[in-house]
Amino acid sequence: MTMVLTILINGLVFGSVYALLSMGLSTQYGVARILNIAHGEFIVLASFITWELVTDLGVHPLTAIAAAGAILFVIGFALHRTLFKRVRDISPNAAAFEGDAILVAFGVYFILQNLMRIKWGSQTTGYSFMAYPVSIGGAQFQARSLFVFAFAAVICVLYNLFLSHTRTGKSIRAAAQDPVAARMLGVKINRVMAICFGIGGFLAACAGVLISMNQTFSSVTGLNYTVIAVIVVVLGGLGSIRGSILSGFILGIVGTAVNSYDPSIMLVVFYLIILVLLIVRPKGLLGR
Amino acid sequence: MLKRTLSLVLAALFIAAALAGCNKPSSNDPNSTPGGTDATPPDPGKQSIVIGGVRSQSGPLAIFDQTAFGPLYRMWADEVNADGGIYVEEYGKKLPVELKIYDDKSDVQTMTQLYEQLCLEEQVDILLPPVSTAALFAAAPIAQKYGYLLLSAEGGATSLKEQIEVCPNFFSVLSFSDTQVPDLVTLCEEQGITSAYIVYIEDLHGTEYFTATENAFAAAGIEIKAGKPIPLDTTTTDFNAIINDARASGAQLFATYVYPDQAIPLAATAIALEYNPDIYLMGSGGSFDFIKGALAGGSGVSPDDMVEGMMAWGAWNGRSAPEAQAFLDKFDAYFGPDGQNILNNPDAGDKEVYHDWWGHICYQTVFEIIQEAIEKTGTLDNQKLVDYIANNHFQTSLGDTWFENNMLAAECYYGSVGQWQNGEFEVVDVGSRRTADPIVPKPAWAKP
Amino acid sequence: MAFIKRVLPGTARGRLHLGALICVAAFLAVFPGVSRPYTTIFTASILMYIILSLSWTFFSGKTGYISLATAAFYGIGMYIEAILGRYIPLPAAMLVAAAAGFLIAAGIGAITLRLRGVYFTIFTFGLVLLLQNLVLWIEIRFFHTKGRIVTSGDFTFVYYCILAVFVILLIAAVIMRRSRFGLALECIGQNEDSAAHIGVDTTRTKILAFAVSAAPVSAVGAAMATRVGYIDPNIAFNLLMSFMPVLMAIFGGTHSLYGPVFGALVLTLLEEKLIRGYQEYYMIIFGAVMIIAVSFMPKGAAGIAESVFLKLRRRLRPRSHPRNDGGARDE
Repeated sequence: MTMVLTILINGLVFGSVYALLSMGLSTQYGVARILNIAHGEFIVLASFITWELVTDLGVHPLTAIAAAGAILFVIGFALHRTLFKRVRDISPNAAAFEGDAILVAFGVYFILQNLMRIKWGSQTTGYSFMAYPVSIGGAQFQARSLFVFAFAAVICVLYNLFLSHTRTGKSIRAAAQDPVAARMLGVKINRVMAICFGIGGFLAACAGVLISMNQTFSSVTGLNYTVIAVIVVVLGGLGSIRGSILSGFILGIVGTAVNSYDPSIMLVVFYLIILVLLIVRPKGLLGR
Repeated sequence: MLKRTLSLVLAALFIAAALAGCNKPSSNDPNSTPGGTDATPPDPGKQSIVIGGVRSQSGPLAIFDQTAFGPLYRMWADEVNADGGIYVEEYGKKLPVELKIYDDKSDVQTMTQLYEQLCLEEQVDILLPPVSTAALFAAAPIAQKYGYLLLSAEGGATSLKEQIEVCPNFFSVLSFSDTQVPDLVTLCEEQGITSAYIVYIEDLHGTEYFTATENAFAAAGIEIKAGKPIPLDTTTTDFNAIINDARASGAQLFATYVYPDQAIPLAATAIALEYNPDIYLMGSGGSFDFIKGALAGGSGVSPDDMVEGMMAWGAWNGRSAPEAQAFLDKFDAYFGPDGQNILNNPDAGDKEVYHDWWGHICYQTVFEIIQEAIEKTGTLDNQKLVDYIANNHFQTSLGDTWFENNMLAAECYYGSVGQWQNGEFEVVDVGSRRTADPIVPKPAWAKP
Repeated sequence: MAFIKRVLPGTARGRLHLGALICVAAFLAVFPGVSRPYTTIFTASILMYIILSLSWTFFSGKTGYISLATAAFYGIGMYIEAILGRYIPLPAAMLVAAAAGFLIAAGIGAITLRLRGVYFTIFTFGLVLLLQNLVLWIEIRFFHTKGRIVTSGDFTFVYYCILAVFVILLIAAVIMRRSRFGLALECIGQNEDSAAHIGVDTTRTKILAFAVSAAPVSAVGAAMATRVGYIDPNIAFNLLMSFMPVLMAIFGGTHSLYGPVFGALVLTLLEEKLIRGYQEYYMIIFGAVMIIAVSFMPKGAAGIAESVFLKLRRRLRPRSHPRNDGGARDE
C-alpha cells in the first residue's frame, strides 16, 4: 500500500514537471510549427539564472520566475522574429519549413549549450531548497518535490485559463487550429507566432526554475529535457496543450512505476510506448 | 550538364588542393618508425620535449580535465620549465617541456584520430593519457602500435588487464575496484557491518565495482540487500524510490558506485529524506572538495558540516606521509591555498582548483615516474622508458612506487576509503594507513 | 551492353564528367602509396563523412524527410564489426553490416514513413538514444560489461575498404539518378500527393530508399570500428554522427551529388583546423554554420557557385545559348 502511494505521489511530481516541460514545446509547435530542439537549453538557462540569484543574492527561488521568465520570453520572441521568420519566408512549403526549422533549432541548441558551458562549466550544479521530509500515509516524501508539484499544477491551470479567457490566448488557439482562417479573421499571424515562441520560452523558464529546486542540472543536461518533452508531446498529440498535460502525468506515473523496478530501462520503455503509439494511433492521445 | 561539369571540376580541384595541403613534404624520413623507437641518432638541435595528449576540454567529460588530471599537467610543465627543463643525457642538456594538448570534444572516435596524428604527424616525444576508462581502452593499442609509452590518469578497470596483455606499453596508475573493494570489506568487518544496499551506474565503473563487491561481500558474509543499476542520464530517474527502498531494506552500508552527476542528486535526496545509514559511501566524486559546496549550497549549513561522516573512495591527505604533505604544499602554492567550492564560485579564475583526495596524488606520480625514467635512462626512446618503468622502483609523492604487471602495486596507495571529518578527508582503512578512526554510525545530517 | 549504354552518359560533357570521376577515383586509389600515414588516416575520415552525407542526401535531400538516424546505422555497423571482427575479415563484416542496416532501416521506415515528416524526424532522433540505451542494458545485463575491444585493422586497408564503399555509392547514385526509382523519389520530394496520384507507390519507394541509404552508413561504421579499437554504446551511438552529415549536406547543397561531397570536405577540414586552438568555440561555430546554411543558403554552396557561374557566363556570352539556361533550371 505504501508502495502504491509512493509511486502515485512521486509519479504526480514527475508528471507535473513533464507536463510543464512539454507545454512550452507544444505551444511553439502548435502555432509556429517549429519543433524547438533548443527547448531544453532554455530550461537549463533558467535553472542557472535561478541558481545565480539564489546563491548570490539569497532570494527565494520562486522570484527567479520573474527574471528568467522575462529573459526567456524576449529570447524566444526575438528568435522567431529574426531567424525562424526568415526560414519561413524562404521555405517553399509547410513540410520543408518544419524540416528546416528543426535544423535551425539544432543550430540554436549548439550555440546556447556551448555559451552556457563557457560561462558555467559542465559540472553538476544545484542548491539546497526545502531539504526535509514530509510523511504522508506512512511514506516519506521530499518537501521540495511536493512544493514543485503544487506550483507546476498552478502554472498548468493558469496557462489553460490564459488560453481560454484572454484575447491573446484566443487568437493563439485560433492560429493553432487554422492559420489561414485566423488571418482572415484579423489575427496578426506573424505576431502571434512570435508571441507563442516567447511564451514557449517563458514556460521553459518556469520549468527550469522548478527543476532547479528539485534536481541538479548542468550545462549538458538540456537535451535530456528536450527528449522527454518531445516524447510527452508526441504521446499527447503534436500541438495539443491538454494532450501534453495528460500524457505528462501518464508518463510520470508509468515512469515512476518502472523506476521502482529498474531505473535503467526507463528511456527504453518510453521509446517503446512511442513506437507502439506510432503504429496504433500516430496522432497521439488528444491529437486532431 | 555544364553545371555538373563545373561542380565536378570544383570538387576535384578541392580534393587535390586539400590533399596537396596535407601532403606537404616532410623533413622526417618516412621510413623511420615514428615515436620514440627511432633508431636514428638524437638530433642535437632539439629544443624541447614535446608532450602530446588528447584531452576532453569540451563536452560532458570536460569536468575531468578541468578538475582531475588537467591541473596537474599544467602545474608540472610550469614547474619543470621554471627549473630549466629535464636533463636528457643523449642530448647532453636540459630540455624544457612543451605541451601539445588537443581536444576530442569527449568523443572517442575523434580522440583516436588525434592520437594517431600526435604519433604519426607530430611525432611527439611523450604521450599523456586521455580522459575516461573507455578512452584508455582505445588509446592503449594506438600507443602500442606506434611504440609509445602510455600511463593512465582518469580511469581504471579490471577489464583493462585484458588490454594490457596485448599492450605492454600501457601502465595503469589510478586505484580501482581490485585494490579498493578488499579494503572496504576489512573496514566493514571491523565496524560490524553485515548488510549493504548498493546503487551502481550502468557503466564499466559501476558494473565492475558492483561485481567485485558482490564477490567480496559474499566471501565475507555481508548480505547485499539489493543492487540497483541506474542509467548515466538520470533525468528520468526517481531517486526517492531508491532512497526509500534502501531505508526499507534496513541495510547498514549504503554505497553509490556512480559519478558526481548522480552521486550529488542521490546524496541530496538522502539529505531531503533524512536517510542516514551507518555508512554512506559516496563513491566516485565524493573525494573532491567541491562535493561539500555542491551539497550545502543554499542550505545555510556550512559545507564542512554538510558532508560530515560521509565516506568515499580515495584516499590520501597531508598526514599520510611526508611526501604527500610535500605534494600538498606544492599544489596549494601553485593553485592557491583555499579549497573552496568551484560550484559556488563560477567566476573563479582558472587557477583556482579543488583538491581531489583520491586521484590527484596518483596523477602526480605519472609525471614523477616519467621524469625520473627520462633522467635515469638518459633518453626519450619510449621503448627504453617502458622497460625501465616496468622493472624499477620510483620515489614519488606516493613514496616508494612500482608497477606489478603494469598495474601500480596496491601497496603504493595511501588508502582506499576516506571519510569526511571536520572538513578533512581522513583515510579510514584498517591498519597503518589510517589517519583517523572512522566515525560509524555516521552522524545525522546537519541542519541549518 | 544495352544496360551500359543506358547508364553511360550520352553527351560529350557527360563523358568528360565520367572521365574526371575515374581520374579522381584512380588518384584516391594510389594515394596511400605516395602520402604520409596520417594523411591516409585523415583522408579516410573525409571519405567517411562524404559517404555519410551522400547517403543522407540520397534519402532526405530528395524526399524532404529529415533523418537523424545516421548515428544509429553507423553504430549498428560498429557493433557488427565488434562482434564478428574476430571471426570474419573486415569486407565480409561490412557486407553483413550493410545488410543489417538495410533491414533495420526498412523496418523503421515501414513504421514511420507512412506518417508526416516531423514524426519521422522525431523518431529517427529517438532511435539513436533508444539503441544506445538498449544495447547498454543488454551488455550490462547479459555480458556484464560495457564495451568491446575491436580487432584493430591496418589503416591503409581500412582506407581501401572505405574507398570501395565510396566508389560503389557514387556509381549507385549515378545509376539511380537516371532510373525510374530515382525519378519517383524526386517526385515525392516535390509533391508527395501528386506523386501518389500519377501512380508512384510512395510509401514503398520511401521505405526502399531509406533502407538503401542506411546500408553504406552501416558498412562504413564497421570499417571505422577497427580504427577506434574499442567501442561502447556511447561511442557507437553518438548523436554528433547524426548531425554532422546533415550539416555537411545542407552546407554543400542537396540538389546535386557534388554538394554533399563539397560540404563534407570543407567542414571536415574546418573541424581539423578549429579543434586545435579554437576548441572552445568549435561547437558554437558548428551551430552558426547550421543556421546560416539553412536560412541563407537554401541551395548550399553548390547552389551559390552555380548562380555565380551562370551570372558570369551570361555576362560573357549574352543570349548565345538560351537553351542552356532552361536546361540548368531543370536540373
